[in-house]
Amino acid sequence: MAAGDVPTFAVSDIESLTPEERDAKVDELVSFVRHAAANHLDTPVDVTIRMTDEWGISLLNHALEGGFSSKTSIMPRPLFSALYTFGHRCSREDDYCDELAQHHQDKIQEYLRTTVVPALDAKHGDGLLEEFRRRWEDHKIYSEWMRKLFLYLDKHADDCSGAESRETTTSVALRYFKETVFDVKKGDIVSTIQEFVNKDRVGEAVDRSLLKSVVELFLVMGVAATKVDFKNKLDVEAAARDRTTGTNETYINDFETPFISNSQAIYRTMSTDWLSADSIPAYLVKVEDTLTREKARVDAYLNPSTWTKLRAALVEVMLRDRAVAIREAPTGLADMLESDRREDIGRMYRLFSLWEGGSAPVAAGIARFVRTAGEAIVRKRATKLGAPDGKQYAAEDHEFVEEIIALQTRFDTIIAECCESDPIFRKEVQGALNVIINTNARGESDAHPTGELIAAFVDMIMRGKRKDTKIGETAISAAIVEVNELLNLLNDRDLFQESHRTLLARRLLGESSFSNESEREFIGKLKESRGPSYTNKFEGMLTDLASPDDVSREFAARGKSDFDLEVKTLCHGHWPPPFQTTSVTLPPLLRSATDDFVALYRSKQSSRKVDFALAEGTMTVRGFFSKGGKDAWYDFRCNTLQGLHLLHFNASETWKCADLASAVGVSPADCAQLIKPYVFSSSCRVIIDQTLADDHKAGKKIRKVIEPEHTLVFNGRFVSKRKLVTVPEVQLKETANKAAIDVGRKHVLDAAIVRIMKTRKTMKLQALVLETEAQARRMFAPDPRLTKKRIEHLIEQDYMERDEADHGLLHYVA
Amino acid sequence: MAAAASAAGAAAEPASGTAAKRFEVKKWNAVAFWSWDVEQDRCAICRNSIYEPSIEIQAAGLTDVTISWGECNHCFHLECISRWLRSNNTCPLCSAEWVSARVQRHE
Repeated sequence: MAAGDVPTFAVSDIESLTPEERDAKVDELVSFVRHAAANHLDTPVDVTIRMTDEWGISLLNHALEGGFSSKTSIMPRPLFSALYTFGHRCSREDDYCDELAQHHQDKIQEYLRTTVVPALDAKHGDGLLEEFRRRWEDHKIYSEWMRKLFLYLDKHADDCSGAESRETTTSVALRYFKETVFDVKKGDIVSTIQEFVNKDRVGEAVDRSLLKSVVELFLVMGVAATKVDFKNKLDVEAAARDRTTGTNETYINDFETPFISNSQAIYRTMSTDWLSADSIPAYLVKVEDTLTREKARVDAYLNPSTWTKLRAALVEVMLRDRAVAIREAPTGLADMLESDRREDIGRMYRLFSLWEGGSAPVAAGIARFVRTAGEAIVRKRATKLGAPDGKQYAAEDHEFVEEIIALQTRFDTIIAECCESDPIFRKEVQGALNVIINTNARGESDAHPTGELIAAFVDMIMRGKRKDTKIGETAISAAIVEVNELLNLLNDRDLFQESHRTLLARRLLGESSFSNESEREFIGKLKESRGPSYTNKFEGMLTDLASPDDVSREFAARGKSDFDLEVKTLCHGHWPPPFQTTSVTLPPLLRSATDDFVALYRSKQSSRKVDFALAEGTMTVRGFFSKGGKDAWYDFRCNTLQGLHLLHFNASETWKCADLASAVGVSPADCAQLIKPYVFSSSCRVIIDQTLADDHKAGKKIRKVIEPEHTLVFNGRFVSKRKLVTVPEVQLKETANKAAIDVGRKHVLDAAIVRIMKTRKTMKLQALVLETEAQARRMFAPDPRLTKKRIEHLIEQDYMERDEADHGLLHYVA
Repeated sequence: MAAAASAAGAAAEPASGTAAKRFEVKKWNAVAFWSWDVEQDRCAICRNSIYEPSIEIQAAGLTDVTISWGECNHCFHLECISRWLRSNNTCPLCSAEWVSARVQRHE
């Protein structure tokens, strides 16, 4: 068979034929093919090629260049199946596979080079993008028809020779589009996209859907370049969509990378201008706004995987490279904190969290600010202490505690509101506060007072007062929470514990707490955060008072003729060591009453001792006076020791202060302190300091201080409007004892060490030190030297021994 | 005034002796502290105070305090000495044979 035998067909004729004439033309070819097949005529490759070109490909080209109104039914089915049948025979029976495959490739390349590329060359701007998109759509149709025409080349049951190693027709068509069209035009396309994005950035309207579809084609081209065998066009787009996770090299190298570096350059310049013109808060607003818009842009027409990279690139030039300048600028972090601009602080936190290590210096900056503010508070306290009246602030400085609480509360809120409660920020700020709280305003040499100051503050709160105003249950609860936070930062928590115990005892015995519920509430909080051993004694004290023991009740029920004696018997282990009154001698009447009580108590509780605490408790003493011949009596409610002082005026109406002190059994200084209200308080002036009075009369300048050599005289002419006079409370000097605390610390450490060794039996010294400290930390911040000393001590006491070979190893001795 | 008569001398004696009923006690709300009648106030076994729960009770989150005395008048938390007596029969402090004298509880 020769090429000349094939019925001819000219594509230019096709428009002039009627459908019937066209069908007749097709029939002509169909019967030619049938005839050849029926007679087993050979099918030379040149004949096949000519037939495919003339009848098939030219028709296809004509259609794609707008020859037909519809591109969907380009070729009647009988036509392409005839072409296919002929080609199939040619490839199988006459083994022209390679030649036909080559022809398939040549025709595709020719079409792309001579038709598509020139069409794109002619366009610019959005015309180029639209043309590119259209050409791709056409190419999909084109390659699909080419596949149909050359279907026999693809792998089938009866393989065309070489099909195993050959690309599929679809893959060939794709690859050529990429190599011949895309690779040639991509530079133009990328710069056009870039141009459009830049227009979009300044707010000019652009066709976002066009951009989106062109950008997507970069992904498709990337997949085309991977030489996967595609069966048809739909596959490739699905595959492109699947591979959006940033592994698409064409998308990354040809589009994304240049796009990002270009964007970075634009924003580097732009943000430099902003930074020189704006304040930091305004600058950060612009940066955040930029990032929001860029994100929206990526969502609208780029691949989602681009966002992280683009953001990192923009963050780098707008924030990271100039992080120090932004933070340290006059309108930077310190200023935001100073003027409490929460919104700006929050924005800085969000933006500086966008890169690894960005937020840590911000946290440090906040901590530095807290530290400076705290140091100012400590300095203020130091100034107060240095003033002439500074002494009053030594153990009680509510202003100081209030300011620390305010500082802590403020930064707690800032971190919660602005920094998403970031644990790193919390830790930094707490670290700064910790330094402040544990700084001694009076210097290192002095005992640390903050524990005492907090206890004194709690004392005021628990009495229902704050900042000179009365407060109720709710305000007390709020203050409890604040104080508890503060205690978390305090190192010497045992110092607080001792001070609190002393003051709690004073409140409970003086019945001056706002309410026992509030006391319990605070103790409950402490128990929660410090553990039950921290609050055992406090709870014990409350329980002691809540349930008077049976002996006291029985004794009270007995009644007494001379005076009423009611005894509260408290457990010595719970309460702070009472003020020493061992040298106080009771008048015989009182003495016999207390002896009676002790006897009764011992008869009921043989294993207990009981001692009266004469500095505690109250007495009602009746005094008899006479003025201008008129007799009168008044009852004085006072502290026990104050009462005892009055009783001594029965023996004599005149006493030298020092003598009175020794008669009662207290020091002259305590005596002077206790009788102060009787001498100076107008409501209960029953004693006259004759020495002061004489000095005053002689016109000497006097100091209102009762000295040991002063003469005291009973004021027999005392009058009062009230029958019952309440004598003002006086405080004998007693502070949390440093020595007692040191002993307490030793006990805590010893107990922890023994406990740990008992369970572990054998342990490394270092591990034991660490674990001991971890256990002790609820009470105080342990000093490793002290811990090691206690371990040495316990080794000497044979609680444990060193390993003979390894000195760092300890064994428990049972 | 009587103050002029300065009876310097006996320290605990009044300066001038004009005894009369000038004050009298009507009521006394006294405070007393009880303690266990023992030498030590810590349990030698767990080293906690005998006025506070033993380590064991504390670890269980309870607050009961029960103290056990021996004839030797040494005392320990009941749980502590009970555990000790499982493998010994002497007082941990004086090594005398342990004879329980009494057990006392308080909260």
